[in-house]
Amino acid sequence: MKNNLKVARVQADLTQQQLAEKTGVTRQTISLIEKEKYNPTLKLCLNICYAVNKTLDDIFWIEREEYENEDTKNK
Amino acid sequence: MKIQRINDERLIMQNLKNIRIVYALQTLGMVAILGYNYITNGMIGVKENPLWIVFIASTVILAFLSLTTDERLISKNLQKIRVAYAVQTLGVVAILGYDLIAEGMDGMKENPLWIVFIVSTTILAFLSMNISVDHESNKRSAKKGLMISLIALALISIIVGTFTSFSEGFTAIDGILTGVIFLIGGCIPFLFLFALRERKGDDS
Repeated sequence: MKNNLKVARVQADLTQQQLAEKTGVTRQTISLIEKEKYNPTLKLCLNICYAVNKTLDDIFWIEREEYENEDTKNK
Repeated sequence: MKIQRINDERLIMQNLKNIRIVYALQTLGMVAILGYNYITNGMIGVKENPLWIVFIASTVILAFLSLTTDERLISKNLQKIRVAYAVQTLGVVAILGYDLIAEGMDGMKENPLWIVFIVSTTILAFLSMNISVDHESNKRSAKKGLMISLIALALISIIVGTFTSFSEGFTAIDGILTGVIFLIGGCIPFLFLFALRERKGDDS
């Protein structure tokens, strides 16, 4: 799913490894979320938001039209 | 080596999916053995095989699986498969253990279940490498790790080969052959790990 994690992480001046350590996951998981290849659970989304000082809206919100396009693409 | 508990939700899910693959493979092997029994001895032959009980027990657990696209239930299903796999593997180990006690190592190896067990365990080990590589710290160089592993493996192969060739009833050719087989067999997991490390390294 599309997200703004990479921008938020760079703004927070964190590397993938540092963010991974802060959120208790592996670097590969952060990498896959940034590449839109893995959909994190709400729990992990919140942990990421706390780590980069952003809200869920800032990082994970996408407009309905965009969401529906993504959904059909994935099917 | 420090054993780490997996906290990463993606890896926990990956682990469950790996178990599902191995469970399917192990079940196929069991069905093949029971099918062969059925063809040769009929249903009575199947029911006399202790594998039948293991098969029924693990399948009963799966009877509670739900066919759904609900993400919570998909995860629940995977957890049930893990329990079914554990029950099945325990049963297989018990049957093989009984064979080992009653008929010795050769008797156990004659049981086709031995091949099913070895193949499924090897596949699970290879699939688990994918998870352990993610858990490694990235400070280690993949090439350096491979070189150290290969040197250690070469030394072990030489030692094994030397001991074999000097053993009674074995020739120098037997020793060389054993050493080479040891080396090739050992290289496969190390090269697989190296390929995984390289791929994950490029992922960032």
